[in-house]
Amino acid sequence: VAARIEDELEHHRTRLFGYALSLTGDRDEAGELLQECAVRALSAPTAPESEQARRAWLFRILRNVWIDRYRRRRVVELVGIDEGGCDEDVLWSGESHLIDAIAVRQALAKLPVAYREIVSLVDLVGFSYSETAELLGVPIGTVMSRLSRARKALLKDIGSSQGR
Amino acid sequence: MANRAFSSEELNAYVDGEAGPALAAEIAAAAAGDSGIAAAIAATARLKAASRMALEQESADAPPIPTRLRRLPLRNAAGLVGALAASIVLFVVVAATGWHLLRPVDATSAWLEAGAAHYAQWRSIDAGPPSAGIGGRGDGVAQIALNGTSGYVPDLSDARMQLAHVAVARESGDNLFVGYVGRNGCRLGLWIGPAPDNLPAELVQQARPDGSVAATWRVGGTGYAALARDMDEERFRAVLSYLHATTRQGPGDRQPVRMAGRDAGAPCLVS
Repeated sequence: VAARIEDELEHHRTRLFGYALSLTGDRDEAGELLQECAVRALSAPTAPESEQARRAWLFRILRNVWIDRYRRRRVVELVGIDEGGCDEDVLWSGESHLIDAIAVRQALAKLPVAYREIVSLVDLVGFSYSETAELLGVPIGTVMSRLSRARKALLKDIGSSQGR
Repeated sequence: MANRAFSSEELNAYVDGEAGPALAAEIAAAAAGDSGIAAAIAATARLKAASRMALEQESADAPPIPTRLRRLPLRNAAGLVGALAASIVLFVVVAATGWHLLRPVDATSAWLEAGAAHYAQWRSIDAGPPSAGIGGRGDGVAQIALNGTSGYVPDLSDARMQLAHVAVARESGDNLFVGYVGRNGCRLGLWIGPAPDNLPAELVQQARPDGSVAATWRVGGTGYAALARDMDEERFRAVLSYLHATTRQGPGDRQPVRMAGRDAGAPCLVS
């Protein structure tokens, strides 16, 4: 079991770190989350059998580590994100080539953590909507609306940057 | 022109491969005849690819999983859970019966109490800048000699704790109290002195009535007690295993303990 967890940790190391970065926005803190996630995973008496379940398990551990830490610091920013916000339909009308990694990176940095998180889980990690919903403990509809808002906000930011 | 408007959630689902077959076919057909829908799909797909690329670039230099952690045997988990359970049981028993019933009467407990008093006193004052010459990432250990007892003062900089306080306690038999401060302000005390006769060599950890935790061990004739409060439990455990190893090992091949120290690099908690 330990060997499987080690392999899984190594296999998902960069994506776990990327997810941690999307949660914290800070490389040092993300590194610490990754480290503590590894400690918890390697200390766990059991781990899920299937590869897919183990992947979700690792990301859940990392998220729990983050929540534990931020709850202690009383700065968890997870409530109210699905109420209001960027709801108008933003149909992209600019040049497609302007949507590149650099523009997205800058726009991502301005997003609320819950939006960065959902983009990271779906686009970087490659979780399905149902896996994401299970990880976040929300209905699939919430995942869809949150992702939609996040992408609208990204497009809006990239579009407005284009005009500057 | 499409027969109906698609929501952004539906278009996202299409791009993410999450739309059911019927919806996917409907959107594909609509996109073929509606440039607006086709452009929205193209923009979403491009955004998805760019997001992935941006996040991959950012995380490309992810730190390695520490080597020592990789070798952590799973049987430790049961021990850690057991230790935690034991601490909780002890706390409940102490809370229910009153600490005075469990008050230490033997030499080891008295020795630990003296160290704990120094720790409490040090915690009550502001931590100043590092006051001893053990810092950075050098040999990682300093040898001390006190009235016939020798021991080691470990360097915890690999665990992101700096030596900040050193005091010789003549009143309690020439013990040395060493204080370390983590980068977030938590404090770890190390009590070093002649080992009481009944102090065991192995690590013995206990919860104290003031909310702190203590761990004791001996190396030859020298006793060590580590004291901490408000420190993350896993971090304390990791630092503890580092201290235990380094005091037993002394100067020599420092690499294993350095690795252990790095593993313990999580920040401290400040209450």
